[in-house]
Amino acid sequence: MKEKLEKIKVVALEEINSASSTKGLEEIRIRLLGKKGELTGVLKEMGVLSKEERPVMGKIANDVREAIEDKMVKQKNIIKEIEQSKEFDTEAIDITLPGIKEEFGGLHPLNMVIEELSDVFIGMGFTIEEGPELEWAKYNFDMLNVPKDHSARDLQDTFYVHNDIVLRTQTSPIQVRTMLNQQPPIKMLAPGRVYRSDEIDATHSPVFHQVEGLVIDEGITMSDLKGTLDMFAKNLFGSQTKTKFRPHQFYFTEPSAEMDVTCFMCGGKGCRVCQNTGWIEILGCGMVHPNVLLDCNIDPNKYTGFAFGMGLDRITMIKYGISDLRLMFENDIRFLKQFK
Amino acid sequence: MLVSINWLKDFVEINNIELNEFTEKMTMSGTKVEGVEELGSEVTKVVVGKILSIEKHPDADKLVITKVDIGEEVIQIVTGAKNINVGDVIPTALIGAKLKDLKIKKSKLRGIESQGMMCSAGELGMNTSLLPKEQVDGIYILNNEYELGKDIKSILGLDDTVVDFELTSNRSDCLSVIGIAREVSATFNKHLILPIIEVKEIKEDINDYLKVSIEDEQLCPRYVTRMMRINKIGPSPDWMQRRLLNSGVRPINNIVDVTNYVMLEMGQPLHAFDYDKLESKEIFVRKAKKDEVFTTLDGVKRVLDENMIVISNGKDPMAIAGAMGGENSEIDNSTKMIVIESANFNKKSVRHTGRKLGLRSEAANRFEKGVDPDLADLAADRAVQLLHELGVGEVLHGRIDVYPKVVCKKTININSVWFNKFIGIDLSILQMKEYLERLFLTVEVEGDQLIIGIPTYRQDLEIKEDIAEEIVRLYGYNNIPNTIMSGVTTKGGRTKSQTLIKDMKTFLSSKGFYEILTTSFTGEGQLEDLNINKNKDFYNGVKVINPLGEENSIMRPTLIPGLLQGISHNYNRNIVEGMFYEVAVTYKNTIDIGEKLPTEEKNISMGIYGEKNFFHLKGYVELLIKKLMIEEKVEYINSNHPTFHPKRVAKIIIKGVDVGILGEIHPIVVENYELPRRTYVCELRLEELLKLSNNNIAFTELPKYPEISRDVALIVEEKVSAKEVEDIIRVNGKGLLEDLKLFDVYRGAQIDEGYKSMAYSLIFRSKEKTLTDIEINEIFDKIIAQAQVNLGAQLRE
Ligand SMILES: [Zn+2]
Repeated sequence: MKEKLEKIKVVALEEINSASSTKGLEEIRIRLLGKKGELTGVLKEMGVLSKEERPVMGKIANDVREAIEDKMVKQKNIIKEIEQSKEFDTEAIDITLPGIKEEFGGLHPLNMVIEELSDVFIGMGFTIEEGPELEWAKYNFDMLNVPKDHSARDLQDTFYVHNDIVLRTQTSPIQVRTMLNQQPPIKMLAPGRVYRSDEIDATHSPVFHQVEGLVIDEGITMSDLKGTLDMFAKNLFGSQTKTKFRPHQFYFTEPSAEMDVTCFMCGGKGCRVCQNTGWIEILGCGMVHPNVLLDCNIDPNKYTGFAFGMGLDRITMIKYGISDLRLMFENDIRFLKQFK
Repeated sequence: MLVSINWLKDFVEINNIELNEFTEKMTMSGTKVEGVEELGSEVTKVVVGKILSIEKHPDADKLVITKVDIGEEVIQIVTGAKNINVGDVIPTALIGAKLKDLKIKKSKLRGIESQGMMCSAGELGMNTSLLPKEQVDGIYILNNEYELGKDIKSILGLDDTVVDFELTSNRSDCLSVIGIAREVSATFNKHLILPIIEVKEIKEDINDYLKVSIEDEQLCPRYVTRMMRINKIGPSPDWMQRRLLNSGVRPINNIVDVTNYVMLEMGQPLHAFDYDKLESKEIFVRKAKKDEVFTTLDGVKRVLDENMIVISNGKDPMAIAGAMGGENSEIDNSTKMIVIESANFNKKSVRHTGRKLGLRSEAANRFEKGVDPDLADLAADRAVQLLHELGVGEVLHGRIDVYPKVVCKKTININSVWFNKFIGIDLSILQMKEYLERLFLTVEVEGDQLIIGIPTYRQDLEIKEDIAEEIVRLYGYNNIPNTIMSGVTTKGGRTKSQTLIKDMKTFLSSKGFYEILTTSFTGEGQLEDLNINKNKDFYNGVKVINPLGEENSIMRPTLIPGLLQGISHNYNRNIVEGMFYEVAVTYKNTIDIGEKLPTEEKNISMGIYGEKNFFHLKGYVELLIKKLMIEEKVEYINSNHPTFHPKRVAKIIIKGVDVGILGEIHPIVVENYELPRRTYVCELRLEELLKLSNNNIAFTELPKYPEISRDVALIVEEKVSAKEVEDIIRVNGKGLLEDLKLFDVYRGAQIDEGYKSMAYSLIFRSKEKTLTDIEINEIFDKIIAQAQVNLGAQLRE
């Protein structure tokens, strides 16, 4: 009997070793260990053994069984590995083929600049304000201290839709509306679309965009105006940027100034962008005229403030080196694709 | 404004200031330099020469051999010039000379040696656009005798530098050489030297010849006249012509040139009449009559209106104020006596006149910006002084000065403590006083207070802030420190709506859409091209009163035309697909416009063409609505919007509000706008969507009980819509239906023609308990029964 068991073991291990599929292995298992299997058959014969022989034989039989099972598990893993590797081969892909994707689009460059500017001023505690584009002439001119007989009011310069209603020529009426609705402290930024009766060319358009800023509080000084705008310029154009303020004239500010920044293309050395001056004119600004404050029911003896405004189309064009304003309204995908 | 530096030097000592320093400091003190031209900088070794002889060239018909005296020697020049005569004084370029575009070398012309070249105005870099044709063509012949061999540059004004100043509209006082000289004097702290005005008069009295009156002192605050007897009308001297030329003014004759010279020097426009042509002893300044016709000296018949001012002889106009003189009073070679007018006219009227008649002039420019009324008498005197000095004629005794309301000198008070606080610096009161006095303002100090007297020419100074600017611009804007605002901190940021719009744009851009920017203008044609021609009031747009053309005459009531133009632009450039969106304002008229402003509404438009179809666009709209966290039910209902394919268009309704339209563009519109055959567009009312948005994210507990899912396929007629099927499923879902998804629409084998199979996956769940199959079967059977009754649906097994 013992010899029988040993023989089964030797033959079985051989068979298992040469099995090459999960299926073949299973067949071997059933043939040996199944209900009608060889090993099971041998064990059934144990009944004829003596009391003394039984445990000895039992142990041998168990050892044989364990050896077979152990071998089977090992062989199973080997086979599985081989089979999986074959499967992998049939599933091979060309990893250099392009990915499946939805292309992304993009924001218009002008709006990218608006968002960037807004973020800079929001960081300094400014709110973003909006106002109507079809605006009372009163808000667009009178309340901004523009003289009654100023040529800006003429039909040649300003679009009208009614005797008293213009297409706003500047974003400044948003200042007026904010001051009328809100007591100081005020810190606001107002980007928006404005209109002037200019024929379209590479640098002019009857439809264009401005951003306006206003600060009103007690004790606001001209040095605050300079400090704030200098900080803005450094944030937008880089920390190495320098600013220069030149006297200028606007109706709603006094004193008034224009601010130049060192050219961000050449860093001030002089190039095509800055027309070899090293500087780029970027915005107009000044201390809010007391007449404007009075008209908006703010006491100029208690409060002072500053305002600034700049042309967004121009800044966008300078920033990205866009040569023709008309490109900004043409919406050619080959243009739009470049701003991501 | 062009200013000759040589002329400026008459009034202020700037010889030791480098040009760079000059322009930089002038700009920084408020008189911005736009450009600088150093005249004659490329010209060297050109001298005065006199032609002694002219002989024919033996071997060339078109050339002559000349001898030219250049002082120390006589040189031979071979030339092809035709306008030269023996005795002419000419600019002569010597060997080694440099001209604007060439260098002179010794040369032989057809075998004869030439030792130099005679020059034309253009070759010397003179402003040929302002010179008469006969002085531009051929060699430039000098008017006067000069020392032979002398450098030509000083004679022709080519040793000058012309600075172009960009003046702000409030600084009309700077529209003159003296005005600029005052700014130079203040900026560099140099003395100002004004011309001495002395008039030598004859005995005859102006009052015996002329009477002047003004109809309306508002329109003409001051009118000064001087009269002269004329000896000789001819060209003005070279030095005067050079200064005019370098200032961009064309020399005409000595009388006109002097009036222009004084205007450039002092800022007061002048006009000269032929006295005899007045045919009356009277000047009457009055409003023009409506439709009064008048021929100006350029021979053009002008139709006037009552907002213009004319200078009349008591009856007929002789000149239009601030615009142009008349043919009827023009000075000519037979003029014996002239009247010099030095007047002050109303800005607005002069501007109106210039615009209406299409006349622009240096004089009008000054009147429009405001001329100092106190200047009129001085300028009249200066003109007759110069005319007399140039030998043009004799000055009659006295002047007529009609000046009903003499302008008073203003005073402005400013507190030095306030000033320092306002600017954020710390100047002493004496420093402030010094800066103001440099600007020719008078200053009295009383404690902290400065009492400032303002000259009449500084019409721009009105309030203490104006004075603050005067001080600080001389102190230097860039010497003010940069400080951080003090005071209460404010909470800035975007509003909820602004943030949502920003998020939406980011979302769409990440999905492949490009943001576009289109004009706010549209026109009737473009709107009619949307296939709405049967109904012109379809869009109630706002009309522009003074548009730039028909296509810009209406404020867009919809974003669709701009979007379609963008799509068309790309499609017609062989770009096969595109996805675009725009967030922008639309405008609608109100009945009570004028009482109210027109309505403005922010919309979002989206458009796609190429591979994608209606349902792709609808999908993006659905995602957008999800992104805005709109929880209300969104309905898509049929629409008869004429711009769209009648069977492929949906009106979008949320909570009973029409929030927009979505569909395929109608073939007629496709043709009109030259669009791809299949173009899908939607326009949504963004503000309505934002109102519906509920972006307060609140967490809901995860479900406690399991779901039961069931699939059902119903065979229905083609005309039955998904919405109809889904409505029945939902109604019968009894609050246990958690989700419903259409996963297949099938047509073909096993399904009869004209029918379709719609397969839904339904998910049921209760919040209170585990559902049983029995409960679900009950609901399921009901759904099928009702679909059968209402829609004629069959269950597909
Ligand atoms: Zn540069």
